[in-house]
Amino acid sequence: MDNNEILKKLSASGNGEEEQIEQVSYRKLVVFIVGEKQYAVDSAEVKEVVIISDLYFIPFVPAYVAGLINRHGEPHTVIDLGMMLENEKHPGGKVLVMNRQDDRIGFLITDIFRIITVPEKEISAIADAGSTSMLSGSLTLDGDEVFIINTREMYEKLERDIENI
Amino acid sequence: MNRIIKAVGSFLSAFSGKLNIGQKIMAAGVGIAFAIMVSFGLVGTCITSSTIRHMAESDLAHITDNLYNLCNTHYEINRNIVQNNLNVADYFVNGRVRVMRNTIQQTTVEDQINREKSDISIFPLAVDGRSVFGDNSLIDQITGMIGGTVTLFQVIKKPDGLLRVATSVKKKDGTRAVGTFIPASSPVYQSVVSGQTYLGSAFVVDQWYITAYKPLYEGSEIIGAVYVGVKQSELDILKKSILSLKIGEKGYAYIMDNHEESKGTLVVHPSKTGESLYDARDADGNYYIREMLADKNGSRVLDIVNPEDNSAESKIVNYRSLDTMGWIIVAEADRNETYAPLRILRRVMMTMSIFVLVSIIALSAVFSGSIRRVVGRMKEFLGRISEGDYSSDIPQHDISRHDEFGQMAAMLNVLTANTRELLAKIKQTTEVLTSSIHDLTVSSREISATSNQQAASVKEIVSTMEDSDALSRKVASRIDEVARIAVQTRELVGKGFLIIEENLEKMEQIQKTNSETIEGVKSLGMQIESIWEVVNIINNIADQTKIIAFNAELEAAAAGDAGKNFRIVAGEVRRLADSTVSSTTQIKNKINEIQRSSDSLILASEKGTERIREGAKLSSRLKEVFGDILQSADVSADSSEQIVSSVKQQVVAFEQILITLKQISHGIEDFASTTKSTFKAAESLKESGESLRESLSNYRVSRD
Repeated sequence: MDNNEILKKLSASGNGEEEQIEQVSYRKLVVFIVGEKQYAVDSAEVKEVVIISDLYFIPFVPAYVAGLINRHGEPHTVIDLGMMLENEKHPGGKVLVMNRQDDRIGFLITDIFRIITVPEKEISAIADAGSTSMLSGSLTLDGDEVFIINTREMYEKLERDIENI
Repeated sequence: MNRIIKAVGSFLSAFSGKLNIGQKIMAAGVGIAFAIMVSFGLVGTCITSSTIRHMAESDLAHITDNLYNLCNTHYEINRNIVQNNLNVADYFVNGRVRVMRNTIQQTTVEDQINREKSDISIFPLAVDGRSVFGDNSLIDQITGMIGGTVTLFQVIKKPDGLLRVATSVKKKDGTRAVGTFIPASSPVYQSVVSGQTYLGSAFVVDQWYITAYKPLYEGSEIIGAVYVGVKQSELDILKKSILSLKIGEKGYAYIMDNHEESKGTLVVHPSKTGESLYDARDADGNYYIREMLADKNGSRVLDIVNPEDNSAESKIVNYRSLDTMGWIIVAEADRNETYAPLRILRRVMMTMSIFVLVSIIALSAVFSGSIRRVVGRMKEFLGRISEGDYSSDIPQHDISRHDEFGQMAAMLNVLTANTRELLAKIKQTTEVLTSSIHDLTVSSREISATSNQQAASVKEIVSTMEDSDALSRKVASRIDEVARIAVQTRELVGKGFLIIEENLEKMEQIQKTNSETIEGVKSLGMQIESIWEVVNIINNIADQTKIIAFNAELEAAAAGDAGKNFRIVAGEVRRLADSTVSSTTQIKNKINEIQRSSDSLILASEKGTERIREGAKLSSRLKEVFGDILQSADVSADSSEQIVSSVKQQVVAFEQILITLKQISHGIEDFASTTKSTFKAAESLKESGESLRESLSNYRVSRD
């Protein structure tokens, strides 16, 4: 099986609506740190990184929702990835502002790491993750394992949780 | 004499002890009478004897004086005759004599003294030109005219002398003495040679003559001499008068020659004329004649034993020297004859003594009988008293005597009565005294025993005190050492105290320095804080830059190929930011380390401070303690000095105590010996009391 096939399969199973501007065989990932673990999302999904100044608390929301931030006059919901993924609070000073049309969401992270371009084949899918898994795959970067976050599932969970309230 | 008196005295005192009073009185009377008689006799005899001797001696002296005068007168007369004869002879020869110098005659001459012969040559002497050598006709003519002897002398040389040329002097053999010469040593020669006429006694050839020599001159030269002389022994008148002299019955006078050549020859003597008495000795062996010849004048008693029939003679002699003739005139008297009156006196006195003695014995016997009776009774009475019997008195008829014995008997009666009374009192007193002495003996024995015990105890105390004294001396020496050590300790503690003070000061300095250090570290921390802030700012900026770069990179990624370069630039910016962050992270780490270090330093310093504080506290406590110790050492040193002085005082006190105790011991020993002697005295007192009582018991004071 060649690389293209693997990429297709991955994109079909993980991110159907993802833009594929460049060659499918490479993926641009934004690697960031939550707590001590490294996570990554596709760079296309990220609009920008900001340093949070004021975080406004929102009552009656799931615990992983940290609050709201004011971004150029627009409120963004900030999800605490630590709480979301590991049910654990981590120090965070930066917000990864996601590039979404319908909703304005940011992820509370500990720090941004780098933007990498990796061949698709280096990304290994997490086999028994299922459709509800928050992580879509992983790769090894300089000896450390980097988990790729399944943002769609995350959004859905958010919507579900908010509706359940 | 003294010895005799002593012997008689002792004999008398020994003898008189054995006599009763009557015998004594008689003995005294007889003794006194005897003594008087004897002393009278002795004195009388002595006086008479000395008087008789004196008289005899003076008689003899008168006789010798008279004889002397007689002889002297005779000599003077003869000398005058000789002088006249000389004038006659001189008349014959003077002016007629010459020396014949044309003739030499050989002849042998003889020294008349030592009989030495020598041959000489002379010019012969001549009368009227005719040689007279050996021609005696002229001389014989002259001799016929004047009598005596005549000689013509010639002066000769070698040997010097006067040579008889012609003479009428004959030698013993009857020949003429021509050829003999008078040697130069003779006074005759010396007188003639000097031109003087010699007058006097002279030895002619072999006899003594009364002589005259006159020098003969030829011009002014003396060529010879003429001599005339009369033999001294041929003095018949003198002889007769001396021999007719009788002194008592047996005494006589005689003349001895005292010339050197014929000493001791009797010139005139009743029986021994011509003999020599020179070697005669008396009964004691003395050469009495020689002594008399040497004395010349004097008086002596001679005891002579006649060698022919061993009959003893005792003589008194007086003698006198007639120097002009060289005679000793002796008058001699028999001693027994002289002392005949003394014997008569002795006989008379003996008879008188016997008569006196007999009458004194008779008187003494009568007188002493009376005394003896009285004395006998008194003796009896005193005998009773001497046996202790005072009960009787002397009978009245003895007291009534009017002499000293009566008075004595009365006094004795009074004395006896007084003694009776006294004895009674003494007996009484003796009883009391004996019991007191007994008590005294007992108590003195107790005292003696007690004092002995005391002496022993005190000696023990003394020995103990001596030990104590030695001990206290040792203590004193040890205490001295202790005091010295205490003083050293005080000095050491003082030094230690000073060191601790310095230590404390250092501690305070350290504390101060330490707190300064802490302050410094703290301020350093502050500085680092500010660095931290700057680093934070830098980090923030780098973070923001990184975010911006990241965003730019995101934009570049979104831009695709067009943003490729931009993406590279953005990446560079982000890496720069990253490296800045990593640098700041390093800085942060360093700062953290520094802060940790400074924190730990502060912590350590604070701990150090605490330790220092504790140290300071300890030091100050140590100082306090040392202060206390110093004070204690001071006190201890002072105390030890005081102890030293106390101990020294104690030693002195001990010595004084010891000395005092020794004195006490001596005193007690003395006391013990005193009490011992007291005890002895008491014992002897007791014995004396006992013997007194015993003695007193022998006395009877009453008639019962």
